[in-house]
Amino acid sequence: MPPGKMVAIDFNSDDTLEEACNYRESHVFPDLVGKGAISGNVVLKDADARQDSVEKHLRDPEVVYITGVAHGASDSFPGNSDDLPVFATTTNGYDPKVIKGRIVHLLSCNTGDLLGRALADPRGGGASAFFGYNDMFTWPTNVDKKYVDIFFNCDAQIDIALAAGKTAGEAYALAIQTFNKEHDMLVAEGTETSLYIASMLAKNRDMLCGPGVDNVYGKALARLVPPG
Amino acid sequence: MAARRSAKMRGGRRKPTPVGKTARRSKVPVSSKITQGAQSQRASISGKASKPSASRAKRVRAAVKRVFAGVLHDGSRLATVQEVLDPQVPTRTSKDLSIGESQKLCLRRIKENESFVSMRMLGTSEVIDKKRALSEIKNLSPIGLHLLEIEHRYILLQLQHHHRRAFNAER
Repeated sequence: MPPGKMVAIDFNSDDTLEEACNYRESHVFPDLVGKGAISGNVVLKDADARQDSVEKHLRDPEVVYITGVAHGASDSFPGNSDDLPVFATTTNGYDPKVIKGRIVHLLSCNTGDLLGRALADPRGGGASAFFGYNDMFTWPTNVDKKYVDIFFNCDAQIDIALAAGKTAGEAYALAIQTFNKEHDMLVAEGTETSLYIASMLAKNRDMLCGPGVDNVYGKALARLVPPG
Repeated sequence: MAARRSAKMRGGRRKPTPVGKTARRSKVPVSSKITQGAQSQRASISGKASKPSASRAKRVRAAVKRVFAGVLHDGSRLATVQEVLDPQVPTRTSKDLSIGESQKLCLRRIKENESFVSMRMLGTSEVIDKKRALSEIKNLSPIGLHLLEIEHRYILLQLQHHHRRAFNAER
């Protein structure tokens, strides 16, 4: 199985997004490239993450994995941009061919609702699998950094598992397993703060959409392979 | 939870409090009640009653008296963790609350929480601090509804935690 490329569409226009982007850049991306299914990556930040620019990169046939961070909406990614959204439930504005057969993972609020289904729909975007959240991904702030890292690490399990050659279903299961493990550790800590953070984490876990929970999010057996 | 409530509704030891009246508080501390069975069992095995740490049990009781975790069954007022854990006091919590009750409970809890954990959300660029959280819940905005759900999960974890602590305090 030849390795392919990853395209990361990371909007970092405010402090909230910056925090998520920084974690991925320093803890996740270095671990993905060159280890299994991903041979190289392109990280598009904010100004470079415009629809036309993203589409240009996605036309590369070696791209197997698309990931991103933004404030999303149920029907578009990003959800609050003045420009055309990179992805939307209607194909109006982007060419569905650019995601066909690829796996998409968006660390973004609400996109699991409609956008994820549309992207993974064989008659719509045709992505082989989609991962996202159907509500607002939340993490604590002004607390010890170890608590913040837990949140992004749980989400990053999807990237890590896929890059290691696991199926989309296995990646989903691994992420849920990590959410559960961290949740239980926070509960065992037993302080008021750790219990509150555990509640936040559990909410994120239950919002995670992916092919493990419903086949509207693609095939559980999908892997990172070049389309076609 | 449901079984406990239905047992009470069938006319167990106490009737639900009539509307407009406050529930009679039990004179026996929750921690003692929860572990009464286990304690007497241990006593009968060992031949003597075990002595709980008084200060530890006192701390637990003080904590559970402060924090609200539900409403009385008739909805007349908010109920503390102690009352919700007390099988003698008919209460409702979590998904058994109406959106109005839930809103009232969470506003009160956050207002009185001196160590509220601020948060960031993908969906808004600003930090959700205590002031913003209260305002979002008051308006029942999407962020407010999201916060209500987190708070409900927190309540359940707190109840579970205090139940365990009460049990352990008596051991």
